[in-house]
Order: sequence, then C-alpha cells, then structure tokens
Amino acid sequence: MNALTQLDMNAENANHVSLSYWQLVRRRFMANRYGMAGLIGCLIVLSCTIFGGFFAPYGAQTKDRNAIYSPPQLISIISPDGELTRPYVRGFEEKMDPVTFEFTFEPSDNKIVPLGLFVKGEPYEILGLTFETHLFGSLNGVPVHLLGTDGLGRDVFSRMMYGTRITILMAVMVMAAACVIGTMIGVSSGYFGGTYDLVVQRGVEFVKSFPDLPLYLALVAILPRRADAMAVFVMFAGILVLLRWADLARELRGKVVAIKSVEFVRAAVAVGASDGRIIRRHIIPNMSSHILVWATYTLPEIILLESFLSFLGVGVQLPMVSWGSMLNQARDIQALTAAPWLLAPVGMIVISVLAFNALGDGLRDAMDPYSND
Amino acid sequence: MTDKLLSIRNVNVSFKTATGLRHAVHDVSFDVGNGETLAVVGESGSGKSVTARVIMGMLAPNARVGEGTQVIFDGEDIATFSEPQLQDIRGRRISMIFQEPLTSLNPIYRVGDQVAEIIKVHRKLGKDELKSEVIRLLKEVQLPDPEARYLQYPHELSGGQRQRVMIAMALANNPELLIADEPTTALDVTVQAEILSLLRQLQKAHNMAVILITHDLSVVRAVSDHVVVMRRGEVVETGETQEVFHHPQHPYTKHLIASEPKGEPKPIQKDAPPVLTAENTRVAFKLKTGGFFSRKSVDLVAVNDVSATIRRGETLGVVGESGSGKTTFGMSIIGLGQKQNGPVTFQGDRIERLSRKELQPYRTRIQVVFQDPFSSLNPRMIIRQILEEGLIVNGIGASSRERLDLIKQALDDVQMPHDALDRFPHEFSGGQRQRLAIARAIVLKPEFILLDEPTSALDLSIQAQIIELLRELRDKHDLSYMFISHDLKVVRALCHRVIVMKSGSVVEEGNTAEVLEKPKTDYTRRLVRAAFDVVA
Amino acid sequence: MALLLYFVKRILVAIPLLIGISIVSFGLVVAVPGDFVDSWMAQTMAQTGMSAAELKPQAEELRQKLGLDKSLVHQYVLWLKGIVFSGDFGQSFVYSKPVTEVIGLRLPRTLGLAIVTLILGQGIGVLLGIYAATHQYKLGDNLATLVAFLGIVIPKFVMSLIILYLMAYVWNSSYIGSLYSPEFILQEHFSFAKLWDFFLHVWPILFISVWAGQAYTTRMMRGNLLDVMNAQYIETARAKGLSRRKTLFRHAVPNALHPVIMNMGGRFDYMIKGEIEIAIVLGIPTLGPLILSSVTERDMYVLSAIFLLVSVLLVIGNLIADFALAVLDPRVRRAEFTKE
Repeated sequence: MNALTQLDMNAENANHVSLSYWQLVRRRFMANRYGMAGLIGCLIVLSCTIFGGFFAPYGAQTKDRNAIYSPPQLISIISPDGELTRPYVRGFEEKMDPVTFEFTFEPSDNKIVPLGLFVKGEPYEILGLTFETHLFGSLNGVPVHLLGTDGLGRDVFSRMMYGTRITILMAVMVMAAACVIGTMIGVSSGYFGGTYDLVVQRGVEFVKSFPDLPLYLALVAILPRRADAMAVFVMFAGILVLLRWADLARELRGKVVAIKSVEFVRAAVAVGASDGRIIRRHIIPNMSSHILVWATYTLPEIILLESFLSFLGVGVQLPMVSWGSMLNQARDIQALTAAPWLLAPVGMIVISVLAFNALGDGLRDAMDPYSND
Repeated sequence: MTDKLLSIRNVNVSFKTATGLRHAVHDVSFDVGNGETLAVVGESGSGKSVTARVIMGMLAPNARVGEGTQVIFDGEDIATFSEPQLQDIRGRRISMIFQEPLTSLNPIYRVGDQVAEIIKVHRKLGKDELKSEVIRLLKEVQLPDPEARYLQYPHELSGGQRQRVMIAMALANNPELLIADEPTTALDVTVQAEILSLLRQLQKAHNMAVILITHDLSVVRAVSDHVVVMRRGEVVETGETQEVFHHPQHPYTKHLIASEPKGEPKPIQKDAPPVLTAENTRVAFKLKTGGFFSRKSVDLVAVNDVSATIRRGETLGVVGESGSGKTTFGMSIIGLGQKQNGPVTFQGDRIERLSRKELQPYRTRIQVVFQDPFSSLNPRMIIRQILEEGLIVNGIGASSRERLDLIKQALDDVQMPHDALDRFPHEFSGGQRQRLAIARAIVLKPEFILLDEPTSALDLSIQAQIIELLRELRDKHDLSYMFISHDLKVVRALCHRVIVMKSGSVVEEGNTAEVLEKPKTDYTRRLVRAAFDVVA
Repeated sequence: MALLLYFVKRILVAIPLLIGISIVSFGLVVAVPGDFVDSWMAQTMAQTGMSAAELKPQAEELRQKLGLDKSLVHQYVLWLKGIVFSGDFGQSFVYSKPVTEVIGLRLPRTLGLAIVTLILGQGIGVLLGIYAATHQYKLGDNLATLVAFLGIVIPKFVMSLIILYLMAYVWNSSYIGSLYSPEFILQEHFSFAKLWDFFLHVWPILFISVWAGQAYTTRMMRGNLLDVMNAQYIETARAKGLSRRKTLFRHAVPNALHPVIMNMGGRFDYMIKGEIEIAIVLGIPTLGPLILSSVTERDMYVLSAIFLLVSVLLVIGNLIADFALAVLDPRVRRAEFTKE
C-alpha cells in the first residue's frame, strides 16, 4: 500500500473507539434533553403500571362512605402553629350553606391526618405476589384522599394508579400484536413479492380505507352484551389491532423492497445465505429502528383512542378501571361541576402521551446516527 | 489587485458542526483570466466545492467565512457584497452548473420555464421574445428538437440532456465566468466527452472563463489551461496544466498522477483450462406497456445472444455504457440475476438451470464484488460477522476459532489490519470498505469472481490501489475474474481479453490491447476516445 | 391525456374497494343477533301487549316483504339495490323512521364542518410550517412547534370537556348542544345574523379540530421544507440569482407541499373523526351523537348506513387528493403508468 494513503488511514482510525449502531443511537439519544425527559416520563408511567398497587393507598373499588365528592387535600409540612412538622393533610368539616342548602367541605385544623411512608394497608398484588405495604398512608386511620373522591367515595388517586394498569396494558397489548402482525406481513410481502404481495397491498389499502372511529364504534356495537369485562377487554383490544397493523405493514413493505436490492443483501445471497437467514440477520435488524419509532408513536395513539371510547362508556367495562372509564363520570356536567377533580386522569393521559411522543421524537432523531458524523 | 477576471485571496471557511468548528478551506488563493479554463482538482473532501460556493456567495448557513477572505471579481471584492448585490451577479455575470443533473432541475416545472426564469430575473423581455430566446439557447447546447423539449419535464430527459439544459441556463445571460462543479462525473463516459466538448465550444464562442472542478485528471489534462491541486482544504500546487503534469512538485500531485492505472496483465498459460463458459445468453424482462385498455406484455431484451469464456487465471473485461446490459449479463450467468436459459458451464458442470438451493455448493466457488462499497456491507454487523457469514452458511470451519483464522488470512490478503474485525462498516473509508468486500469474497476461497465496477465509486488514487490488489490476488490464488466496467483505462490495466457490449449485444471482442488500439466499430472507438482523450 | 387516463384508472381501482366496504357495512347489520322483525316484535309486544304467538303471522309476512327469509347473499343484493337505486338504507327501529330521515341533515353538517376544518387546519399548518422551517431553532419555530405539540398531545374530547365546562359554568353561554338559537330555527332564509349564530354554536368544533389538525401538518411541512431546502435544485435557483424569498416560494414550497397533499385523504379521515368526537361531547346534532346512540341502542341499520356513507366519503376524499397530486406533480402520472 502506498505510504501516503497509509498515513491517511491511520489518521482516520487513530483513537477511534469502535461503537455499534445501538451504542451510537444511545449516545445521541442521551445528548437530547427533550428525548430523555420523554424517556423518564415513560418510565414513571410504566412503573405505575407495575407498582400501581404500591403507590395507591387504597384499592380501586374501596369506598369511603364518609367522603362522597370530597375535594383534593394538600400535603403540608408546616403545622397550624407555624412549626415544621411531619407531613400531614387536613380533614374536612362538612357544612351546609344556609342559603343554598348545598354541602361544602371546609378543611379543618382540628382534623389533622398525619402521613407516613411505607404504611401497612389493604393487600394488593404485584406480579402475583401479595403485599400490604403502601408507599404512603395515613397514620391515624382517618382516610387520606390526595386527589379527592368520586360520587361513591372512591379515592381518585388510587383509582388512577390502578387505571394506569388497564390503559397501559391495553396500549402495550394492542401495539405488540399490531407490531408482530404488521412486521410479519410487511416484511414477507416486501421480501417475497409476487401475487402474495399484490394481495397484501390490496388488503392493506382496503383496511386503510375504513374511517377508524366509526368502525370501532360499529364493531363495539356488535360485541356480545352479556360477556364479562375481561372478554370485552380482549375483544376490544382485538378491534383496535384490526386497523393498526396496516400502517406498519405498508411502511415496512416499502422499506424492505428498497433494502432487498441493496448490495449487502445481494452479497448475502451470493455467499449462499437462506431466505430465513437474510430476513433475520439482514432485513429485520435494519428495520428495527423504524419499528421501534413506530411503536413509541403508536402507544399514545392507542391510549387516546381507548380513553375516548371508555370515556363514552363503550370501551373498558366495569369493574375494570381505566383513565378513560374514570372520565366517564365526568361526562355528567353536574358531576363535573360538583367535583372538577374527576378530570385528574386527564393529567395522566396528557403526561403519558407527551412522554411517549417526546421519546419517539428523540429516538427518531437518534436513529440516524451516521448522518451528522 | 491583478488584471485577472477573478482573483481569490486567503479564502478561509469553517463549518460549525455538533462536534465543533471544522476547517474546510484554508488560505486558498488563485486567479482566473478572461476566457481561461482553470481546473481545480482534488479528491472528495478537499474543499474544492466549498471554494466554488465562496465565489458564488452561496455557502450553507452554518459556514463561517474567515476574515481577510477576498474574492475580487472584475476589480471588486464581492466577498463584501450584500445579498441583493450578489443576486445581481449570480446567473448574470457568474453562472454555475452542478454535478447531479438528475436533481439540479426542479422536478415540477417545465424545462423551458426553468431556463426562461434565469433570463426573467436579470432582463426584461416580452413573452414571445423570451420563448424564442430559450429555444435559441436550447438549440445552442445542441438539444434535438428544442421546441418539444421546451414543454417537457426534467424526468422526461436523459442525464446528458438535463446537463445540456443546465448549461443552456448558465449561458442564458452571457456570463463572464462559468463555474462547473464536477459537471460530468454522474454521466456515462461517452456522454461525458460530448458534454465536455460542448462546454469547450461554448467557452470559445462566448469568450467565457471557466472554473472546472473535478477529480478526474484526464478531464483536467484535456480541457484546462491552468490547474489548482487541492488537498484537505489547502492548495498544494498550482501552475500551467502541461507543466504540472510533466513536472509535478508536491508529493500529493505526484501521487495523484502516478495513481492513474497503469501496466498490463501478465499473460496467462497457453493451455489454461476454461473455468466458466456462457453461451448464447439471452435475458429478457417482461414489460407491460400501453394504457389501461390496450395492455400488452412486451419482452424487453436486456442481453441478446452473448457468449463468453473465461480461462483459469484470466480476466475478461465486459465494457459498455450504462444500459448496455453488461451487469445484467454478468449477474444472470452466475445465478444472481434474471433467470436465463443459455448454457453456462462452470468447471464442467452445467449451472444455468439450477435452483437457488442447488446452486448452494457453487456459492463458495463463484463470488462477486459489487460497485458501491457503501451499501455492500450491512451497517448493523461488525466486520467479523460480515466475513464469517459465508463460512457459517456453507459449513466451513469446524469452530469459530478456525473460522477466525480464515478471516484473518483474508484480511491479510486484502492488506487490512486485524483490528478491523470488531468495527462497523461506517468506520471505514470507501477504499477500505471495498477491500473488506473483496475479503468477504476471498475468504470463501473462490475460483471465479465477478467484479461489477468495483472501482467506479472510488477516488482515483484509491482506484489504482484496488486494481493493484486485484492483480496480486489473482496471481496469488490463481483466480479468474469477469471485470465489468465502463472505464477502459482500468480495463487495460487488468484484463487479458475484453468484450464490448452495446444495447444488449456484443459489438466487438478480442485481446485487450488489440481492441483498444484498433477498435473496429465506431462505438468502441468512441469509448476508447472518451477514456484516453476525453474530448472527442 | 395521461392525466385523464390516470383519473379513469384510479376510479376503476376504487370500485372493488367500495364493494368491500359495502360488504362490511352489510355485515354489521347481520352480525347482531336478531333482525329487524325481532325488534319490531319486541316493540309491538311492549306497546300493544300482544303475545309472540299472535304476532307471528304478521312477523312472517313482514319477513317476506323485507326479504329476510332469503339467503344472506340475496339479502345483500336486495340491500345494496335499495341503497343504490332508491337511497333506501332501511328502517331505524329506535326512531321508527327510514334511516335516511334519521341521518337527514346530520351528514352534510358533519361533512361541511370536516371540510372547513380541513381547509383551515391544512392552511394554517402549511403557513406555520413554512414559518418554523425558515426560522429554525428561533423563538418562533419553538413556539410553533410547541403549539403543534400540544395539539397532538391533548385529547380532543378533553379539550371539548373543558370548553363545555367553561361555556356552561364560566361564561354561562346559551349556545350549547344545538346548531341555532331558538329564534333562528324557524328562519328559512339566509342571513348573516343566522350565520353568526351558527358560528357561535359550532366554534368549539372548529377551534379544537383546527388546532389538532394543523399540528401534524405544521410538523410535516416544517420537516419537508427543511429537507427540500437541501435539494440541488434549490442551489440551482439561487445560482440563477433568485432572491431567498423567491427561491423559497417558487421552488421549495411547491415541492414540500407534495407529501402534505398526498396525506390530504388521511387528514380528511382525521377531521371527520375529530368532528364526531367533539360533537359527541358537546352534544351538537351532527353525526357524532347519532353514532353513539345507535351504538348503545344497537340501531344497526343507522349505524351501518353512517359507516357506509363515511367510508365512501373517505374513498372519494382520497381520490380527490390523488388527483390534486397528479395535477401538481407530473411525475406522479407517469409513475402510475410505468409501474404496472
């Protein structure tokens, strides 16, 4: 080799740490503050899914008959005398307005409810194991309702934690199923082509031509009425999957058709690699970033759709709790006015949608790490 | 101040990137006289295109022009001009054409309107006058049937035609200076020669100065009066073209000039047995044409009745323009392209009808190296995985240790260090990647390798190294090659025999030296002239 | 000519799609256990106190009349024939009226609102996208991005709930849950006062839909334009001596619009969906509340008719978007021909 170019080569490769594609992605992603914030948000939401029972002081169905529509309570660490004290909330005194005859709740300094960490309470399950310790709880037995209660005296905060489970479970199930179906169909039709590909393309076009909200509603209408909540939940998820796979399949098909004629795939054919190996080792790894980005964008879409349908009362059925089905109570404008805190799950919806979108944006920008190097 | 048309002095440009400031051009100065052609030569990344954009005042937003940079055009320092002042100069006194004729025209406007636009910006003309002016220009750049071209869209023209449109545009306002940024690189060799000679004629007719940016030394030698050699953002040598070519001063210039492929292949043994024989190869694609109601299926014959024999240790060159069917021919006889029925004999076995499974035993013996080193290595695999794949799927090497030894041998063969194994393809330069692609073929110990334009995507000096490497490997392992190329210079350095293809058929074949020295057909003559004289 | 052929071809391709859609719509009707006659019987029994046995002969007669005793295929053909030739979508058993009467003016209202929000949303999105792309990383860009982001992130039904709350209890607005104030309902002729009154009733739909609708367009336009500005032909235009402004609007923007127009069909779907979603929450008498009530009461003829009509509208919307693209970009027409 020529000395001059040898020199160039060494200069190029000197002190160059070898990084894999995913390492490069991670490095770029970590440098993106906005994407990292999204990631942290997603982790918080996901941890609620698993440890919801631990964070929630009460069960989803536990009713506090003495606190119907009780307002949110503020945690304080300054005692009424102005001294620093252990965190506490103030209980309410019910008063009747002599003019309107409406009940109002007044926080009272006489009803102090001290709070503690890791308090024993109602049993709950995490991954099949039963625990009794909750993250926080009241120490004197008087219930604490941080985000208030609903019309049946159920703790909004606790229900929201449990609702995370159903909402995220639904979103993840639907996303995963659509992802698997979409990837299988998209990759195979792009790779093998021919009549199969034509049929798939027409099918995708067909599925995509349906207006999604009316179709969901129409399909919900034909679900059996008397099925139990779990069966409805699964069928509901099935309906959501029905239209979701098509987009991914179409995108992947296009990418596979392009990548199939790229030279590294042809080189793999030339060394004698089988179709299965080519798909596994060459095609899928080069699609994975696209699939990942698709998944992070799809999750919030499903969360929104599920929330809306449950909000209407045609999604998740009792006794299951999701954010949307909690909001169903707020459809009654009287209830909403009496207890605006019923809208609390909106906060969770917005946070999770925001977080997953931010994560998706961050990933998408980080996925193309060769561009700016 | 000089009396030159353009003098640039101490041009410094840096780019603000995520990783900090990067210097692209460093203290570059040169002059261009009236009606003169200056060639700016250098490999990719040498800063030659950036320099051109400094003259035009069209740098990217993240570029910073250094203090003291002067661009004196006709006595005025246009580096200090405001944007409106520059707009007045651009397209009127200084024009520019670009490398990619495919993308340099706006796809959604008619060709005529795009040419008319540059006139409208600088001159007031009536509608009819404008149209006749555009048609005159299209005629001047020798586009056939200019009235019809006027109404066409860019995608309806060929690459060469589009570049002619670009030239017509550049000439529209009789500029004093034309900057041509690699105007022929993306074109076929023969088209390249036509465009260059057109540029030359027009330059004389209009008495324009031309700055020709290129990496191709033969272009430089053929058309330029003066030359500026750039490397890594600096000028390393300038002078009269003849002088620089005969007495290069700087080692880099010497190296560039020396890197033109030279030499001839060693003759092979007289009685060497044939390795691969293809007879009467015919490849046709089914093409559906016609409208919705008059659909017909037509065979598009890409390769028609082509035969070839390659003997042990021999290299057969297959040359022709793009679209001549040379790659289609090569790929289909080794079972990697369209199926065809002409007999193909490899080491005594007939292989043309074998299915993909049945071809498996031959995969290690017949290998291929592709044109583009950037897309021929899977970006998600490390080099070790890439080289190992062929060994694994063919069951070579009992353990991963054994396989690793084989891989290391192959890396030695292509003169790459062993620490390449754990790296990813994006960490290597184009030439290095092409070495790795060759290693992927060599590690299987093949008897025959199809080389599909393996050097055409590489810089000139790298090209020569790859040719040298291929020669060494051929002698060391007694390999046979089929070498597909459009570049007769490279073919002369590597191939024993050559077949010349045109629109799917063979127009000429024979020993390389004979064909190149005494071409029998016009087509071959044109190819030869394009390669060795450049301007026809 | 090429353009015309392209249109004809696209329309022909849409026909199997429409047939598929009609089959699914019909499927909705038959998928629910119990047919129209069963619900008729239940209703009559409840109203008149007659027993099932007494009603049976009449029920059989009704069945025959409606063709419900025939095979599914036969029923489908009858059903389709009714729709295509006489606009007969069947009978709503909840309202005991023909479906067409039940849907009545609701469909054109939904359609009209969706088209208006589509045009506004796309227009605002394109302008904001251009602004953001030309002021990359500056304050305006960040603001536009933030507004777009909020539009994507906040669920439309939540925004509607909040606006409903504000209208009902903060502003004490009387423009809730209807299209016109009482004094205008009987007014037949057009007047600006009536139009203004209409606007006061539907502005939440426009506001929410347009906000959410412009969001994707803004993002897409910003991204496209930034890509297109790197294209070689933009440099060509600048080398001609064109000003930045002219280069942007003559060369960059039309090319960056390409994907936006291609996506129009999808955006139309989004706007119809949004209109339905918001109208349900606000109780505005368009298709939205009707869909919900027919779902909860299983008024399947109404539901399937709405579904069919909206799907057909979407197919037509997509066709229009395709045509617009073919007119704008000469490459599209040609690609369609050489591909197959």
